This record gives sequence, structure tokens and C-alpha cells, in this order.
Amino acid sequence: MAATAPDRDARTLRELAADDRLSSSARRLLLAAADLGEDDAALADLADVLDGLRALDPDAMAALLEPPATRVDVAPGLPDAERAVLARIGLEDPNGTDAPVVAGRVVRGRFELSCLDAVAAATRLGVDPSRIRQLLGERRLLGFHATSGRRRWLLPEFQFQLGLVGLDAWTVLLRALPEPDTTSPTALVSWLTRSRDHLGDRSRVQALLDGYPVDHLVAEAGAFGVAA
Amino acid sequence: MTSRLLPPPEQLPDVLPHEVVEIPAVHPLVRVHDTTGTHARGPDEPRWFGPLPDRGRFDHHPAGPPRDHRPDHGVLYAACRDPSTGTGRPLDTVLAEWVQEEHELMLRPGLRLVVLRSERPLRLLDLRTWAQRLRAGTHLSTAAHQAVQQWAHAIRRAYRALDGVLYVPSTGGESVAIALHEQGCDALAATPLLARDLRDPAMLPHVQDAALRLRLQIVLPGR
Repeated sequence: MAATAPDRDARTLRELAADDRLSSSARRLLLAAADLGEDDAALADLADVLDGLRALDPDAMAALLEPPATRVDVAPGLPDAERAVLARIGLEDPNGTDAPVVAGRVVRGRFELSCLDAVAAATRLGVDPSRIRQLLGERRLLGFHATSGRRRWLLPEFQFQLGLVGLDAWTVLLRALPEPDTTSPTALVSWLTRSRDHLGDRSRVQALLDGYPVDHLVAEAGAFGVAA
Repeated sequence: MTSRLLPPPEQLPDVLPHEVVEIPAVHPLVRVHDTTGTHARGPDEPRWFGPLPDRGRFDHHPAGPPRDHRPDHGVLYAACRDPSTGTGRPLDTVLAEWVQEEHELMLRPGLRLVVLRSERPLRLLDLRTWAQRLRAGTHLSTAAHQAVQQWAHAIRRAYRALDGVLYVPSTGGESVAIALHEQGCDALAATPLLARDLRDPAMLPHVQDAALRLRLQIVLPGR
């Protein structure tokens, strides 16, 4: 399990999966990732993810490797009329591979490993962990609950690195966005930190720090998760 | 990937006959319908809220921060098999449009796959031919959203008799994508041919297969 990320391709993932020291869950995860192909950068770091997962307690690791969401339900029979409609749009006899769901869990696990927990965030700010939980409750900090153990808070580190914590504009923007637990925290962080054409290739948090009107960002926050 | 697109000319030329494509009334139109959230709407209702900053290239709402432009500017995105060939996977096209960030297909409860039909033929500006004449080419499918939205606004203003635009989706494939204007939505039958939650056990396998083809990860909030 010591291969480096850049040269990890589908074949490598399959070789890793052949390691008989792996649990059946981990083997299944690697094979599912290999099915997704060679050029997905996030999945190329899969072995690192698994290494990181080993640092978690066994229950937390098991929850990430074998989440309920990876189980594919057996599709009940559709009425003939609906089956005919699906056929008209080119949908017949699906395979129903769960690899994309597994991949989503892997990326989420990797993201969780990059976040601070409440204790680490408290240390960073020089406050008590209870104060961190209070700020999260007031939505003055960006945080979400870990997949394993719904009571464990995780906080993306960029807000501390960039000095956003404590800014009124940051609080205003956070409160305009959906609760992270009701959406995808990784999508939310990307929405905040990825550069945007219309902001002169700045991210939204960078624009915020540069004095871009928070009202405009709040209006854009209203569009988060809106279907085109 | 985005490409460079010049602003639209002050006045757009008249449309030539071969630049209008007609979608027959029986042709199934596919869309992702969000039944939840602040901007929930009916399955055949346009989105009045816009222009969206990171999506919705053919949002023709006036430029500026997104807001409700009812009843003057509404848009409904859909996809269908190419009417001239009958091929393509419109599910792939609409799921790719739904992708939020970072190759994530977020399947919230309340997101439905809806298959609609219109009650009359839809007359659409065919960007595959029209954009070539205007030298905008494929840029209208790939350029930055705000730049394309300027064109969408100009098209809406210049060609009010048309129901919307038909274009090649940025994800490619054989299906075609459609952005219907308000009057085009008026032609849609209120009752869909099919409406199923994307997480419905009967639909999820199709969605998973599409995600694999598109190299997307699926996220299931709340599970």
C-alpha cells in the first residue's frame, strides 16, 4: 500500500486489491475505484485515503468503507408504461454499478481527513472546544458532521488559514448558504474556494477578503444547489 | 474548460429557415426537476430566478446578481435524443448539467427525473448552424457562463417568436440540449410522461450507470 499517487492507475488499484491482507470491504472499494478508470485525480489518491483511514478507530473506518449508501437496492418492476418511456430515451436494462457511490464516499473520506476536529480548531483559535461548538451552532464557522459518528464536528481548514474566522462578512455568507449537513460539504467548500471567471479568477472567499460586496455573494449563495 | 467568446453584435441578423429546428410534439424531453428548496417549481415551469453565476449558460435573465425575473425571463433546460437521428442518452446530458462542483453528482431527496412532452411542435433556434454563421461556433457551449448569458439575452430579445434554443451540450454525446423560453414552457403538457425520484430504486441503477459513463462521483446527502 505504499505506491505514490501519480503512478497509481487502474491496474495498480487492481494489484493493490489482490493484497490478501486487505479486508473484503477495502478490496471491493479498490476494485470499484479501478472501474472508474485511470484519469480521475481524486481516485488516484485512493491508497493515501486508505492509509489515512487506518489512523481512525475501527468503527469509524468500517463506517467509511462499508456505508449503507453503497448498497444497491434491487429495482422493483416499473409499470410497463414507464418502462416504455425510459426505452424511448435510451434507458433499458441498467447494470446499476455502485462504483460512483463508492467513489463519492472515498472522496468524502479523504476530505474529512483534511479537516480539523473541534479540539484542533479550538487549539488553533486558543479557545475551549465548547466555544467552537457554540460558534458552529451560530453558523459563525463552517463545519459539518463526520460521516461516522454524527456528533463529531469537522471544520475545513481554509477558513483558519485565510483569516476568515471572526469576520462579519464571513458569518453573513455562511448563513446565506445551505446547512452543510443538508448538502455536500465538498461541493460547498469548492463553491467557496474555486476561482471563478466572473470574479476575475478569484475564489469567492478571496473576493470577500478583497472587499467584494457581500450582498452580491449572498445573492449568489441563493443559487447554490439550484438546478439549471 | 472555457473558451473565448466575443460579446454579441448590437443587432442580430434575421434567422434563416434552416437555422430553425422543430421538435415534434411527441418527442420526449428529459429534465432534472428539483421539487425542494427556495426555488422549487412545477415540472413544466421555467426558472424565473437567474442568471445563475456558475451554470445555466442560456439563462437570458438580465445581467446582475441572480433574482426573480417573473414573468419576463424564465428558462427551462432539458435534453432529448437528436430528433434527426433518434440517438443519444439525454439522461447523461441532464445529469452532467446538474453536477454541482468537482465532478460530484449530488442526489438530494426530491430531485426527480421528469420526462415531458409538448402539446405542439417546438420551434427552436438551432445553434449548431446559426452559431457557425455568427462565428460563435462551439464557443456557445464551452465559453464562460456570463459570456454566453449575454448571447442568450440577445437571442431572447431578437427572436421572440421562437420557443428557445437547441445546442450541443458541453458534455458532448449524441443527444441535444434545449433551453426553453417562457412561451416554449407554455406548450409543455402539465402532466409528465414519467416523474421518478433519482434515488428511487427503479431509477438509481440508471443514474449510477450514467455517472460511471460521465466519470462522476455520486453523493447522497442524508444517508
